[in-house]
Amino acid sequence: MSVRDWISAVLLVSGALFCVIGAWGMVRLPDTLSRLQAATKPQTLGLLLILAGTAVRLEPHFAVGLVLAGLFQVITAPVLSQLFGRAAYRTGGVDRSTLVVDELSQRLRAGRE
Amino acid sequence: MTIVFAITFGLLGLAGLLTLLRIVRGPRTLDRILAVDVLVVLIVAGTAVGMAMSSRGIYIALIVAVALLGFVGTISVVRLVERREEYR
Amino acid sequence: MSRRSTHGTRVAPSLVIWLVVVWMLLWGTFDVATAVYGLVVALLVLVLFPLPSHRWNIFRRPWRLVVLTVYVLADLFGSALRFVADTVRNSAKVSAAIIAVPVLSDVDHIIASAANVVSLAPGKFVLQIDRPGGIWYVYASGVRTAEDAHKAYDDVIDMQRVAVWAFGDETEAPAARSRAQEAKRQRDRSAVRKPQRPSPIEAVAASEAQSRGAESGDAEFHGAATRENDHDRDGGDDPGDFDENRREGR
Repeated sequence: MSVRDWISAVLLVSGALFCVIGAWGMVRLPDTLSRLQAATKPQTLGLLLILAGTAVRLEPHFAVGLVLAGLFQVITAPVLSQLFGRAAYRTGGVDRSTLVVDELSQRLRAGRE
Repeated sequence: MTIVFAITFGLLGLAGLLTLLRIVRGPRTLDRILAVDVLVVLIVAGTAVGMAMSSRGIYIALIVAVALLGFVGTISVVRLVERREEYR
Repeated sequence: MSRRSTHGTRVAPSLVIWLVVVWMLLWGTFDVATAVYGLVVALLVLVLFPLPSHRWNIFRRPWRLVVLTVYVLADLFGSALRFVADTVRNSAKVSAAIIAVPVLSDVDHIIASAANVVSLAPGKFVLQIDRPGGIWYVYASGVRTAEDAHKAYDDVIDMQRVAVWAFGDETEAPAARSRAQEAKRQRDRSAVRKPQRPSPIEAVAASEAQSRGAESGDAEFHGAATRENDHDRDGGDDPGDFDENRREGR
């Protein structure tokens, strides 16, 4: 195995590990908001690592396309998590017993007076 | 290197199975959509690993297209579900 | 509140360049023919789907973008590991918080970009943007105590400051810095407490108030910002709100 192979191997396996951790979190965590965290964050990192690991093994002009895919992922993930979070909060996807403090509901209730 | 690919594919497959479990169980529609989105990301990752295995970049356009389609699809479904559950 | 106008459908040159670059990256070939086709496609897209033009000088200072990227990547890795460790250890009893953080800019696209930067960090995302009140509601996981909540608050402020510094123009970076200091100073460090559980009736009323806000606020800023009641317009994190809260709780 060359140095290149080693770099690629480390990136690929660690990326896949992050994906597994994200999926495991999706199964274990209790409410939609915390699952959302597990689904978007380790997942994004895992995909970026896997794309990097793949790019190392390809010719440079293919690797550029992978950079584009990674960029799209980085741009779209936060948009998705915000939309999801808002929808989940509104439709009751949040387990209030997990919240130490919820300044949004405080504000909403204060606003109704 | 073969064993590296085997491990990577195995881990990704495991992640896919866990995600499927959430799709089956997910009490709310949003949970299921979220799991489907994760599955799409996993498919993209798997395609990338496949490309690394063959050392040929033939699926680059596929990867970009699937990632973007997954994003657009998820967003539209989330909006739909949000409206529907709000006005029920 | 200054809002950059959205008049005209003039095709922005920087956007054309950006689209051509994406097109060439997509094909993976860098010759004249691809560039010409890319130009045609970019113009077609921009004419058919006109975007509101705004002053978006993101490429004028690439150095700041690099700094932002490094900052975000460092944060991404660091807090991803912390988040994973926390999840593995305590996945059964998750603890989180929703905290109100003042927005440091008044320009829509900068707020949007900064919100995206903050939401990229593991363990945090912007749940709701109260645009008129200038407040983000940030969901932060792994928060167990009041100190954790204050730390998450400071983290979000810091990250937001770097994002505004990278995306905004010359006048906004110093303004954001002074607003960040102000926000940190004004945060009432004793105000965080366990929220009273809302009774089912209250919860329903709250969600109704929210959906009313959604109808009026959906038009702006791809639906992310919602207008809540007029009471919210005074913004700020003043302790008065908490007092009202306490009264209501009884």
